[in-house]
Amino acid sequence: MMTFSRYGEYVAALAARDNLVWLAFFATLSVLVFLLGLRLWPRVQRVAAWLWIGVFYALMGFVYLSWGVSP
Amino acid sequence: MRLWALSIFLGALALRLATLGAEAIWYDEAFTAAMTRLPLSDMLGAIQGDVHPPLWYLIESGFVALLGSSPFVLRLPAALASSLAAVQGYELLRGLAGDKSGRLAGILLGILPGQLHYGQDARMYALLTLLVLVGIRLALAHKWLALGAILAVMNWTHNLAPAYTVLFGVWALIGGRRRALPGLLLAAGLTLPWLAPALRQAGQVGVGFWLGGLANVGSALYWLYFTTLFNRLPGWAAFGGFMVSAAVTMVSIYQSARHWRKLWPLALFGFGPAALLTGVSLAWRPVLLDRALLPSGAVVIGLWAAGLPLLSAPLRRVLAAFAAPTASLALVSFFIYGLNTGSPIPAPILARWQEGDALYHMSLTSALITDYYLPDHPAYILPETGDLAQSLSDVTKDHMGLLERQLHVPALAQRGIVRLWVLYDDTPMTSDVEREMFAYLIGRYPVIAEWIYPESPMDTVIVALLDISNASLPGLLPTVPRLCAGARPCLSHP
Repeated sequence: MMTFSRYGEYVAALAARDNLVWLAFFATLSVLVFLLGLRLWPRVQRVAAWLWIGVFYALMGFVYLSWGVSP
Repeated sequence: MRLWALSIFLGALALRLATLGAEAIWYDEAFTAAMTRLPLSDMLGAIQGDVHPPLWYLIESGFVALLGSSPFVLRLPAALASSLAAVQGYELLRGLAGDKSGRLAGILLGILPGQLHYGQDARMYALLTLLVLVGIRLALAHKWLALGAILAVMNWTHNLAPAYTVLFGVWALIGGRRRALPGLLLAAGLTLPWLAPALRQAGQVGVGFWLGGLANVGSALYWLYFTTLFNRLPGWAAFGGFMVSAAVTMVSIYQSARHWRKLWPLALFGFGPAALLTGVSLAWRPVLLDRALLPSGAVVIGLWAAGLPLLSAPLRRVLAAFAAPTASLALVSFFIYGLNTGSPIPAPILARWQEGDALYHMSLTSALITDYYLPDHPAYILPETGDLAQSLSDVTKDHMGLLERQLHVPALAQRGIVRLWVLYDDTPMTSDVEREMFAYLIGRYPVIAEWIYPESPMDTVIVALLDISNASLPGLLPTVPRLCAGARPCLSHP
């Protein structure tokens, strides 16, 4: 029986990636449910959606700057 | 309409052909290439010991026989299948949700990197996508006999195809009842000859199979991003990519929910196979292979195309502002980042090769890839390398002629080999035996030169040129000393 003592690194990398996936999924879901809740006030919804996009790209920019230019 | 179909096909094909042969082939593609080099009987024998059905390799063999075995030719069948899948997506959505959705589906299937990548991969996933989309159209048209034939072709294309064919079967039984029976019997009859080998293959797959298990909920959702925006987004943008794929999917579901009577097949084939594979992974062993969900990704893209045109104009602008920059970055990243166009053969081998040299592979990965690029260089393989937990079974290796090349160093010295180029790739997939044997070899034989290539934080390629002119032949195989307890100490000489 072969053993793979570094296999845990692969499993850990996948788990870290998948943690980000479900976090993104539920963050998206919560934002959309929030926006849906604002359907009664379309103008508020529109403003909230644009605000959210602003926050989203500001966060991405922040991660970009702290991560560095290389992929 | 024909003009649109033709435009989508040609546009998708042009995008796939543009960089089709540019990227270095990877292990699975090297295996495809190795299959096409074998006589038919050996090819079929080798496949029996592997984990896939033979149809794709037979198609590839036909292309290679006609056009040669360059990476471009090896990937051409996938490019054609993927481009035809974009046309099928166009036709499917045109029928389900109108011209606008049809055009959007065709365009998205043509350009989204998840689909694009597998349209440039010498593997069977683009074909499976094409077959699933054709199958949905046939089922919608109640052409059950033709559907039966397509289901059989799916089963001969990939061993995870039952995640789709079972759903088609249920659909046919409910939607067609007795009229669908001849088609289902045809599918069963044509699949039957592959059933025994497929079950044997499933039994052979070890519990340590490389496919990771489900770590958390995200493991069952990753395919949605992977089959649409793909994973070549730079690390800093990956989280945004996850969010965009999730958001567009959720909005599309919400928008198209009121048309569920027409669009339910998209939901069934978009999410059903992932749910089935997740269930099997939880109940049995990991089978959630993200790329096997490429057809589901294509159907979800169809759902996007159905739902997005239903958005009101202001919301469409909002969603476009949210998704378009990341989607564009995904496309740009596809062609810029991660496009590994360099030769996978370390330069010193070509520059310093001389008479009496041979390659010595510590793993089957480097053996198969190097065989493809340097078929005329004598190459041998560490006998202890690989089992089905990582790579190929002995049955497959035997038919591929690899077993007879698995020799220890003293036996190579007896064959007149003076210098040995040892290729070692230290990754989480490297077995401890391979790691220890590499440490043993560079400790046992004089090292003429050594090159270390850090490919990624988890992957280091090492090439060591050894002088084996004085290698003696012991009576028994060398006892492997445990020279390295973990991974890192092995990177320096023991």
